[in-house]
Amino acid sequence: MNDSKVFKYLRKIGVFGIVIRVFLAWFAIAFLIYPNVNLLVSLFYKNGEFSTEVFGKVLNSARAMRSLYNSFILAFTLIVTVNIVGILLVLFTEYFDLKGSKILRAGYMTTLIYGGIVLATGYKFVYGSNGLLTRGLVTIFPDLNQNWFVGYPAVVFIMTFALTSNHIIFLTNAVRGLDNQLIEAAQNMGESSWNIFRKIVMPILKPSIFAITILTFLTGLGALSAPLVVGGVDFQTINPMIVTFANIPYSREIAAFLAIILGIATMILLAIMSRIEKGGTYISIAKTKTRFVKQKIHSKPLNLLMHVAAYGTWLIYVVPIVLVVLFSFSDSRAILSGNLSLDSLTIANYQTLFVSRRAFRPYMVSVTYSIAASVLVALLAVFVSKIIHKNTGKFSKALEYSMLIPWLLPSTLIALGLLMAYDRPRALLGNNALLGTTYMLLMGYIIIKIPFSIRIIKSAFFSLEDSLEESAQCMGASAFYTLRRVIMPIILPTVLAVIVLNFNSLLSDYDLTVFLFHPLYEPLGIVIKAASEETASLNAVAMSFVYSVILMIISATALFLTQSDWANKRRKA
Amino acid sequence: MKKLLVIALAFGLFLGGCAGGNGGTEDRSLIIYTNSASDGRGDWLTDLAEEAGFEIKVVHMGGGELTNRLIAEKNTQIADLVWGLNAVEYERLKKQDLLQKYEPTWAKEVDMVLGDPEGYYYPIVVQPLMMAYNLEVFANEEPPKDWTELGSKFAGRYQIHPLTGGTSRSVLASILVRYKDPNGELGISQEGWDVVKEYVQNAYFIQTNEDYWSRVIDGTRPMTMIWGSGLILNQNNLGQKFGIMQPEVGVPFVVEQLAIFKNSKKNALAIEFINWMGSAEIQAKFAQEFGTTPAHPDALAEAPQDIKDLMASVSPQDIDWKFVAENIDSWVEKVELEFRN
Repeated sequence: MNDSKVFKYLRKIGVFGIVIRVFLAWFAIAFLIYPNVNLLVSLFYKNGEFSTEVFGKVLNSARAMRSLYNSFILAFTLIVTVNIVGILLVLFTEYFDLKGSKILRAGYMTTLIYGGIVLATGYKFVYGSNGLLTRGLVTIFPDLNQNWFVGYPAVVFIMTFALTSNHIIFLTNAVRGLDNQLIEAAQNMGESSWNIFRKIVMPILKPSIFAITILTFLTGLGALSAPLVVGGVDFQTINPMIVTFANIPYSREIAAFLAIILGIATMILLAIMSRIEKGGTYISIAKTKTRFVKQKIHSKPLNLLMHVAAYGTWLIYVVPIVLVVLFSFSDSRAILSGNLSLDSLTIANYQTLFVSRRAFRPYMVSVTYSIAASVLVALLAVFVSKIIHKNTGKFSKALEYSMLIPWLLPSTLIALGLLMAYDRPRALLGNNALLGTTYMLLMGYIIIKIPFSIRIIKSAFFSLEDSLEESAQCMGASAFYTLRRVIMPIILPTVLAVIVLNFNSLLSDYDLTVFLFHPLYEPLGIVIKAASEETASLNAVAMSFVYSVILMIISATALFLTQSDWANKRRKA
Repeated sequence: MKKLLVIALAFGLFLGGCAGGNGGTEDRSLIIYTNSASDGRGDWLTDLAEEAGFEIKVVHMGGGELTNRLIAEKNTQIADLVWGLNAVEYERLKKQDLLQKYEPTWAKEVDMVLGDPEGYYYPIVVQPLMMAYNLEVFANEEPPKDWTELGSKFAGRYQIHPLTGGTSRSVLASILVRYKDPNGELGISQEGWDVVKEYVQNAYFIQTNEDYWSRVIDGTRPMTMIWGSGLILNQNNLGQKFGIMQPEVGVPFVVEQLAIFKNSKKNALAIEFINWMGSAEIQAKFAQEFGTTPAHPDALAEAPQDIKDLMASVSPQDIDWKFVAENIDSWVEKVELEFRN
């Protein structure tokens, strides 16, 4: 680049563009690169030299190698199974005209409001040795092994249904954005429904499916709760080991090393995906889109089959959550044994929650932090996506990859990196320290949500038509004005969805929170952990269910406010 | 979108506004970090302390995280005192030069075998760690005598907790310290590692949200690792008495302690609070309210009968916790990487 080119570039992006880029570069260096690199260096460099001991330790551990292998097997399996189930769900609720699609959608959305150990335990109530289905099956086949729901198939089953959240939200948005004229044109030309789906619908959905596939792969690699609850001896994955080692100061380098192995695998996948994504993206060229009309299934038997499949899947989703809610009214022994007796249900568990005058404060703290962090991270993701979308310069490449760093490390290590970097005043922060301030946790929350937010919002930019942006520019609109008034309204559904998903997952976070929270502002995750510690109380397990139900209510409200038809109508009005 | 931005900004102001303040006359406030405030204990203590003229803020987190966080905060001391943990964790804090030597008024009344001979931390609550077994199953069979023979004689029949928790780690340490050998790997002789390998590989590791007491009762796996208060709670809840394995060397006692920090500016107030909290009177109230086992003999005398019975039946194993603290992490790492299936 010679001087005039630089000048041209600067003029193109404007003062605001320069300010934003400088800010983002500072942010990436101060919060993503410096703390994490600093931590990794401290872990691997001992007494001034690079320690290679860790390679031997890990490579010689049969358990570590097997767990790593299992994690990859799981991740690749889930890419296939989650996509199949997820796409089917969206077809059931959005693409085909099925009866009661709103009820179906509500059922499929349940994974958005609960997860982790409680979700896995919910599935155990159905399929476990004492579960509803198992007991039913035993009466028919007395020889059945009651412990059939264990190991690889059980983990895959639970995770396949638990990980469809992203399909339900983002693929739904994409299907709703389909241009009906395209489909009508194809129908008029006599194309079959299958060909229309394969040749027209799928290519348009591709960017969303790519983004979701990456997230699924990552979640599969990082599987934690499902293997712990139903993995048994034969199918344990690597993440429980990483979490264990991350919490032992002596063994942190092993945690970091294992996490880096997973990170490299992720980066390879990301690079491949980005290449494919850039190559053949199909963008609808219609200038005046017409609203997508759901497809009727004309063949009667096929229609019936679709309904049976849709409602069968619905049951898989709904039964565990209903049982979780019911069991939250019983005691821990009932939960552990899976024996529910309806007459022993009590609201005593819920009463214990609100007896203390201090009980409400953690909700306030967590809700405030989660809203602030998820809004700020979404804004950040919009600006970054705008810069990296269709931009192949060195700056945008560097920006994109540094924003993905938090995916490389478990949240414990990210927290420790932040603590280590900002436990004293640093020039990078204008000679301020973060430790001991309320901003520490806010920064932590923002950091761990950056990769997810950027990956999803970036894919929303692919659905934008260049012509819109170009015409805004031709009419003299500044880049910021175009972003605010032209781009933002189009990607808003995706941005809101990212905000609400981040909000829901931050509400009860523990791993990161425990290291960063300000002692006077105790968040919910800390309270929940204290209430569900087995060493403290007999009723610990029941309390984890009770809190889980309360979180469901908060999360469902958040979802309703952003994702329901009611909210959509209000926004358009 | 604008609305959300406003909320985010308002949040910043809210946090900024709250961070300041705290004027007033005499500052009687203390920040206490602990891993034992669950089940309403923190709130109970806060209320009681208020009556006694202390304004305490109890901050609860899990044991492992607590120590890690305290070490991470060493350049910016936030906590004034720490309550709970165990000797291993305190030795780690001591090594980082975080603790302040002190002596509470009740120091001479408690058995300082449970505390720190160097005077940095003092015991308040005791938790024996045991192997409990189904008495019916072992009516005609000789029950296990020691952790060291479980692996060879009772393969697959005993349940232990994951090594992520303090209970299982302390038991592991209680086995390994018997085979101390300066020339051995990580300070332990080959014989010791063989015993531990057998113990770990033949154990059943309890999984998350698993009903392990039912397995003890129905005899599938009739033995389980358990801590003192957990045994008493479950005996009452299940209406069944369990046997306790009695190794000749005794069982490991995990002891909750109280300590103060070198860099806290409120050491005088913290000691005043510890004098109050560790006193026989408060510890007895605590035991009656939450069924814990006080380290203070006068408080134990007023504890519920089943706690007294349990404590009369077990004796503490003599363990060099300093040696344990120096090595436990590397021991656990070796076991997790090499021995677990």
